[in-house]
Amino acid sequence: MIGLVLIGATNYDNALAFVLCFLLLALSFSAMLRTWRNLAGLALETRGVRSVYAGQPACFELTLHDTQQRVRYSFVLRRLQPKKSLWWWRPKREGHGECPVIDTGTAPVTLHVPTHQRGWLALGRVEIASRYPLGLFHSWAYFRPELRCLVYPVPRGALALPGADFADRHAQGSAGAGMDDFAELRAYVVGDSLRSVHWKASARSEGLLVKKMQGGGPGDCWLRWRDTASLGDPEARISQLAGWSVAAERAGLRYGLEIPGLELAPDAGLAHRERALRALALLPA
Amino acid sequence: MTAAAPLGRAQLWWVIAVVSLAVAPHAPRLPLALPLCFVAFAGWRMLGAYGRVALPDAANRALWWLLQGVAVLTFALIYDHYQGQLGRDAGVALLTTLLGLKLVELRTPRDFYVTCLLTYFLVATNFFFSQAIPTALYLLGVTVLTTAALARANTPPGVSGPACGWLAVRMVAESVPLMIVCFVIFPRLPGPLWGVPTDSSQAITGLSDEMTIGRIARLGTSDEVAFRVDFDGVRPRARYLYWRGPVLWQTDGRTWRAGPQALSEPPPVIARGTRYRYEVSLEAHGQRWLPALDALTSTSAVGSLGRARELISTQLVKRPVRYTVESAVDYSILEISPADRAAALALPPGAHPKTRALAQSWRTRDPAPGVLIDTALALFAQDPFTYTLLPPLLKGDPIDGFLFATRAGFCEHFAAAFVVLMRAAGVPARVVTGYQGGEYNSLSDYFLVRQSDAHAWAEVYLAPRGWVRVDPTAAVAPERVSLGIGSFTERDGALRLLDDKGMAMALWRSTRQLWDSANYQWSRWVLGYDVERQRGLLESLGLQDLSPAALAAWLGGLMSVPLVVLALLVLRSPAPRKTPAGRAYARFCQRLARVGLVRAPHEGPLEFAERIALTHPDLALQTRHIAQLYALVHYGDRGAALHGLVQAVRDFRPRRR
Repeated sequence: MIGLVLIGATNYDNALAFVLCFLLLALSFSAMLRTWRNLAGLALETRGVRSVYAGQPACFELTLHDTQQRVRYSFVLRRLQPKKSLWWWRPKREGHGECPVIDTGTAPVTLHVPTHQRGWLALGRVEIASRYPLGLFHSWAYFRPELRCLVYPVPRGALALPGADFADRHAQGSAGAGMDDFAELRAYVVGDSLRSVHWKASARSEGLLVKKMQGGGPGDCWLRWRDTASLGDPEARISQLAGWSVAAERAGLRYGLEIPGLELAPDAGLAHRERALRALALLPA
Repeated sequence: MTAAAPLGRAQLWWVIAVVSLAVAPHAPRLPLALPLCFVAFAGWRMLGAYGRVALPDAANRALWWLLQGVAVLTFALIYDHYQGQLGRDAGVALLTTLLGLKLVELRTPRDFYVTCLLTYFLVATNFFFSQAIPTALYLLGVTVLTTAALARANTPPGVSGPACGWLAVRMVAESVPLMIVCFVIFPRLPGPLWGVPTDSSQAITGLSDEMTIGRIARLGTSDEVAFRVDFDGVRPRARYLYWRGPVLWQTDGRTWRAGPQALSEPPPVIARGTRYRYEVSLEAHGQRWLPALDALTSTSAVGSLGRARELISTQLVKRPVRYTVESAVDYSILEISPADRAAALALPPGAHPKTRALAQSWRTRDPAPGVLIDTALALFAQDPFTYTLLPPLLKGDPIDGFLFATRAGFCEHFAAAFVVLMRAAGVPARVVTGYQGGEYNSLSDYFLVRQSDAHAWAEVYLAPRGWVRVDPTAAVAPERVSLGIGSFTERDGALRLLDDKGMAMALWRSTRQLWDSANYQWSRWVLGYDVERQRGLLESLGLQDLSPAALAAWLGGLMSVPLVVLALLVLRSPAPRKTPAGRAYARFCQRLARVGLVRAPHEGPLEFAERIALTHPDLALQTRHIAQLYALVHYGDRGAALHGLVQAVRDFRPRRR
């Protein structure tokens, strides 16, 4: 652009076109410095991360911390994919996080990174970039926050949830069927299924009370690796087990998980589901 | 701005506004259909942004084809209008059309940037047409606004439009020192790089190099600047200010022309007394003559001397030129070649019978040239000859008609009639056209000569004295020569109103002088800074004999100074104040800190509010509200939230428990 103006100015020997040309040159220099200054002196701190299912974007919670207490604008955060092949010199960027302004010393920013497979997703290198003030220049910096996100397998599968299995119940020597599996009441903790809340008892007391079950109740079921053998592909089997876990939790069942190398005793609640999903996510392929 | 986000309406408004402002000065220079098309395109895009009309895109193939059709038609129109010549004018027409089309298809940030950069270029193209001070100021404004549009696109919506404008003003202002140094020392290539096409549409006013008797007075009222003269030291008295332009030898009875130049050297001049050295800044007039006082005692690189010692440019004066020459007002040019004598006596056979008869009768009475001149001047002074800028049209033989019938005319009539009389009486004579007088500007010590100062007079060859200037107009209207053309236009009633109010007139005059003085300095120091001036400057710095490498090192060193200044300006400038929302939020944090609630350095506003809500439920409602408003200002798109935030913080008075 500046070159075009310079050529035009030279050809027509036009003083003001030269003036404009040099003004734009100086202006771009000023923009370059400002873009750099907008980024200089920023620190990135980690806050936390929530686990997601594969396919959902992973949310890395970060904080931009300004060591110089200035007003800064328009930052975009992206994750640099780990280098995969030798000839691909520039690492691919993925994910997206935005921070429009920092004017109180710190600003929270969430970096959403797409996920594709279960297991740990290490955040790795993060590029923070800004085009402020004119968008003509791009300043960037890399951070390597020690943050990783556990990606659960996709809960998916066509097989029906294995129902309450009498043989199993008998094998465990439960006290029998019916209502008498209800053992005692305990206080509600976050993660308990709402279906297990004893509403009548709760109404009489201060907080919510939860029915504590003993042994295999009527909703007790086992999610077993071997039951998914018909699917063949191990990933599909893991997905099926994850799907069952989610479905069982939704149905308010108590369920146990049995996979190669690990067995989770039947239980219910979000914490239990997370344990199960974690075990499935980290199952060696 | 995110990579693929569509353009917001605010950005659209900005970019359409700046492009339109850059196109506006071109509008009168373009065929009417093009500005209309541009306005239609811009309107289409804006209405489309508000969902009033459909825009041409993948979903609207019909409209897309319509747009292509309009584009092809417009290009055909441009081709036809400029006869397929891709010069400066056609280039601007094309650029304007392309930008208009681009407006309709503005979609991505990339389109936005391309349009903004093209706007900068469009600003530059305006300078190829006009470099006057008002144009420059206007286009500087457009440049700042274009920069502001770029800033608008790269700041969050919480920052106001005027704030973006101020940022742009600041950035442009701090770029000025580097710009000036680059302008002065950046090595210029002698242009043009390719042939500058002759654009026929540009009209240049000025004295023609021929003169036709009986044409109406056109130059008489034009206030345009012809040239300015800066005398080096003493300046001659007003009655010597005859600026010679084309010297006309040949006539066909009605039209006077310069005729062929002699191959021999111009006649030598014997100068006496003071030699005046002066710099002439001539505006473009498209001819070859260069005005100078008689008689020239030096010549200049821009031109050479003609057969009447007039200065003739080596090329057509298509751009303003500046040259320094030397003249003496007391002089003799004694030599006259036989060819010049023949040319100065030639009259078209059969023309002006009555005039010839009159001259013959004078000659038989007394053939002395001096007496003949006095007789002719006496004729103009005594008979009912009148000087007027609006003479009646001359039918038949123009000289006979003027001398014996109408007897009213201006300088051209008197000069031509006088020269015909002299030639008919056997005295060599020629017509000289040029300018007479000039307005002295005391502010900057120079003479301003306007087109309205155009004049024509005669030069006759008297045997012992050589060539002598005779101004027949002075005989009929001495005040035309002593006071200038202004006295005539005023007396004719055009400016009588101002004449009645002497104060207003004086004020008007000084304002005009101030303005012209500014224009003169502008064209002298800014517009006239070219390859030669740069070379002169480098020579005065002692840098002329350096090798290219050493010169580059010098220039680089010189340029690094403003570069460092700019870097310091940008980087060491005080930290920008907080945004309004940031200020309000800081006050909020201060008030909380006073009651012992200090925000941890890494705590975001929402987290902080939640922590307070947990520990101080009495403040929960207010702190949450303020945190949400703060987030809304920065992350949402609502200006109203800012007002609410400021209000909420004002009402926030936490008390220590």
